[in-house]
Amino acid sequence: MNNPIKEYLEEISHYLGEKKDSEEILQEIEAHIHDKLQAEGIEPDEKNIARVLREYGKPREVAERYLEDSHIIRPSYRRFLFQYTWIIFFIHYGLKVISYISGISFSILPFDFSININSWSQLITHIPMTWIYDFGLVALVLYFITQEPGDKRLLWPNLGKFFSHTKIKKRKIWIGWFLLFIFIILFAVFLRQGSIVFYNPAELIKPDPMQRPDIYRVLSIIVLFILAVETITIFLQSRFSSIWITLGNNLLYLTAGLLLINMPADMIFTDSSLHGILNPMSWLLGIILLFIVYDIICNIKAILAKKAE
Amino acid sequence: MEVRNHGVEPEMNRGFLQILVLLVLEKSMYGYQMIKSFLDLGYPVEENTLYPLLRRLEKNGWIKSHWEIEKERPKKYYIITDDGKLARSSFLDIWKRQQKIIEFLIMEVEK
Repeated sequence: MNNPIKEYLEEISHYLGEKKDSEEILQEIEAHIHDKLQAEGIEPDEKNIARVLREYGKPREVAERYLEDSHIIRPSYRRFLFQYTWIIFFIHYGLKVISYISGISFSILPFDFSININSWSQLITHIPMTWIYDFGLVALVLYFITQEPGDKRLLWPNLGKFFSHTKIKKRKIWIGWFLLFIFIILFAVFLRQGSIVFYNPAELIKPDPMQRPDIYRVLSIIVLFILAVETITIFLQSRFSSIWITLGNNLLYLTAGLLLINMPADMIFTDSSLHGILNPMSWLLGIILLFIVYDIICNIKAILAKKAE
Repeated sequence: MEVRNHGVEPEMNRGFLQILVLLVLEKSMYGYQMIKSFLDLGYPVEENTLYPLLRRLEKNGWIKSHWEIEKERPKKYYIITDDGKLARSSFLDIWKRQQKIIEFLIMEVEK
């Protein structure tokens, strides 16, 4: 006869979890159910018990009423979850980028065994992986802080200000036309000669024997790419004036930058003793990429802020 | 126009129910008795709302409880404490002030 009540209480107990006074909570509920059955003077058969239990509420909802005050992360600490995640992500991922560029393998956080990154595609896949790792780490720390008695005053660096420089760069339309003009000329040269780089004006497209001929083509494509991206951005901005366009522009440069960093040294120099020259260039490119990432975060923040309005 | 009041009533009831409980617990009562007395006053209270509230009030030291065995069944009795009486008079003051403000605003609206 008591089985449905026991089952009901067990279900509530499941949702209450490890709550320290759960035993007494269950006793209270059980006592109430019996009081009600007794007070109503009804036969405590299966049907009536089921009705009384139904009236008391669904086990999950009943348990939640008792859990309202217990938090995994206290509401006042929740805002730190994302901010701290972003800060740690920046440092963590930044180190991965540095590790990739410099070829030095290191790890600052425990259990992060995926530090050896060998290609730019791996570097991209590490963005969500690193973020989830850092999110979990911060959540765990905030959980322990929440369980501690007393108030903890956590640092709140004003990153909102740091990441709020976003302005839609509206450049004059004539610059767009000018860039388009340059692009058309250079593109025509590229189609005709296979490169726009005139190594020696006297002898057009005569490659330096120290360098691979392909590098001229690559450099030409880079210049044409920048011209094309900037021209399209200026025209689109003049028409739509949207942060999405700036973000698209950033992402194109980020992808191109990562491709460039990934370019093998022997594709540039025939002489392997010259490969060392590329290291400072990689670092410079890495710094430029960090600025682009900074711009991307500012733009994403601006888009989210606009959506929240 | 449809008024979206989902969740508003329980939220408003929580404070009111707290005052009611502190008032009826002038004499010792168990949970089901309280629910019955509220129902008799024309104020139905959900069972699963009352017990967590009683637990919170007890945690604050405003009520105290003890178990008794009646007809071989355990019953948990609650009664107000001295701190609870102080809290109750503060709540009633607040409630009276709020009532005056609402009455004044209603008069302004109806002018």
